[in-house]
Amino acid sequence: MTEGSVVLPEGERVGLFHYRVTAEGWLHLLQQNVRLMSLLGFWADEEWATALFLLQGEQPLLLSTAVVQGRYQAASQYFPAAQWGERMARDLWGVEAWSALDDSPALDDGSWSLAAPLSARPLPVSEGTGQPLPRCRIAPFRTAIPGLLGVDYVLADGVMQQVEVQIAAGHRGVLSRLVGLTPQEAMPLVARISAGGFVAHPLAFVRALEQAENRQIDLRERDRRLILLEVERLGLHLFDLAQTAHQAGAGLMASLCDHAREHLAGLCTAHGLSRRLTDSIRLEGSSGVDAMIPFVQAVVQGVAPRLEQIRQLARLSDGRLKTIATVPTELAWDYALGGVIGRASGRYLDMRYMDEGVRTRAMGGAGRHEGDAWARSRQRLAESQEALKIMECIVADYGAESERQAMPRTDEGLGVAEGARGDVWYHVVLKEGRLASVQIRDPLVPLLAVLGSVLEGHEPEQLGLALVSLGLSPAGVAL
Amino acid sequence: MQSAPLTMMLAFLDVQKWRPRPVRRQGRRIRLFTLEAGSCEGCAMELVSLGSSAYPLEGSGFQRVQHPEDADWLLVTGSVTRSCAGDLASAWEAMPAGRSLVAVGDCAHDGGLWKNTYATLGGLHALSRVYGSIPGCPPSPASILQALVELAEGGSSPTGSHASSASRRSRQ
Repeated sequence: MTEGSVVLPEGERVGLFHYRVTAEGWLHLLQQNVRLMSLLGFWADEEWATALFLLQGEQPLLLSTAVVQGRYQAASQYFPAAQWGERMARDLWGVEAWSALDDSPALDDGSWSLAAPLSARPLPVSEGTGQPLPRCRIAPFRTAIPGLLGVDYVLADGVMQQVEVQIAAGHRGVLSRLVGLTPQEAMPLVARISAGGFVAHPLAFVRALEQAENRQIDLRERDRRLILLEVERLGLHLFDLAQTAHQAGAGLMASLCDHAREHLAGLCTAHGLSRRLTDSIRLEGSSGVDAMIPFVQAVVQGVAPRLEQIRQLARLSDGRLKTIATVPTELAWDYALGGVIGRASGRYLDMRYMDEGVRTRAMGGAGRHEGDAWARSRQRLAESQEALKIMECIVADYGAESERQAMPRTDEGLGVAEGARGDVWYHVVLKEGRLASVQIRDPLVPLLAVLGSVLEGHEPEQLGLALVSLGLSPAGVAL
Repeated sequence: MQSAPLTMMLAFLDVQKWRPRPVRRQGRRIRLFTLEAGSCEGCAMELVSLGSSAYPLEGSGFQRVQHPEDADWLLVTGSVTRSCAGDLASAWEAMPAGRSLVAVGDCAHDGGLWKNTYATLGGLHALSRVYGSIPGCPPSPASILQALVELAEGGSSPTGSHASSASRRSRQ
């Protein structure tokens, strides 16, 4: 059997894009297709180890192999981007990857009251007896980003070397809370997984559910969601631009971005939405508000002149952002780095092209190749202006017909939403109307595998600028 | 394309024009140290916004500081993961006498949607007496500022029942 140009070993098809293969088939496929597909995400529970790939033509492929006696063959030896997923599976379910690139804990830093908390038999841990992670030189709450990210490094010749990052401090037990809930009960939790995706996370989740249940949505609902995604993109890009400018000492630029973002938040509340669009995506009923067209008109009218002013000012601080936290093109492709980071580094993939009803005529395919903080800021500005064009196109033919594919109900779904920080993926399995399994792939996951190397060679004083220029939000990975 | 000096001057004038009016209050300047303790980061991002020029935090008698040793109030966001409990305790211990603890957002107050689990402790109320709680998920920068001013003036906050009931409970 084949998927695109990838030849799959014999296996059982269990979902629209999902195959289960034997351990031999798994290994064979990983070995043979390293250059033909990108690994987007990896997860494992006590029954199955699953890799999410992107094939040529942006078609997703889920490949699973059985976990036998708590073990499976590591994907990270062929696809290094799988390492964080393998480490998290070990912490949460207690399953181990043979020949893993890294088998150190990623989430369990010895503070939990249970070991392998998502396994069928979690083990109680007495207070103070857990195995702590090595202390970081910079504690998780001390970096310049709002989330929790520990950074450790060795200082050599005044620059950082052997940089390692930790996200364990931010683990809240999201997956343990979601499993067993009805989709409706899960919505408030999913809506608060990451402030880097108050729209993108629930949208990917809802799309996965709709695929699992073969539910078609109203065309106006489709467009309301697309608009909300673009408004969130604007808000987060302005936040990241402001933080980058602030760290670069460009105070005026930071102020303009901050004021523009708060103006956008004010427009949201004035039109009946929440400031940061929390709870705006709905599983049933209408997302956003009924009067989306006046809302879009107000956003375009209010934000476009401010963006132009920011664009003019941005060039004055260009020099401070060059060569900061450069992500080489090859790294972006090898690790499937998405969002602004990928598109500023020569990986011009955008999952919005997979969206039903996408207005491609408004998407200019803006992209850069330099890969540094300067390129990311330029990319954010270009995508912000593009977001306004997309919204204008949507309201011009609001609710227009688009090609739709009828799909069978499988009780398993894969959903994606291209958020401001990259592509968010959800895989859900339903059983008797409840969530039997949920897996979340946040765009930060693949970046974590290379973040250390991206930061190496910088002076410690540049760390804040490097981190904020990447737009990191660890909450979506730490879960 | 405008010249660089003209671009800067116009931007400067706009920022001046948009600059919000400070909230006048009595009393000394209060130094704030913020600590994220495990959340979606929404409240932490709103605190970042509060510290920007879009809000008159400094003009209203507050100052953000980089070290807990220099702080009067500890503003906590997040449901307090077990992993963060040590950092929270260390920051609190490092603060000088007269310190106060303020929970920003529903998670920091009582865990919000993330109650006591294997990984979280379910907010500050389960752990310690707090001086004030600012409800919201996330609370807006304006409502955080309003609540801070009211806490500083020793009155109850109109931003919600949590703040009213929790204000001025504990100063150490």
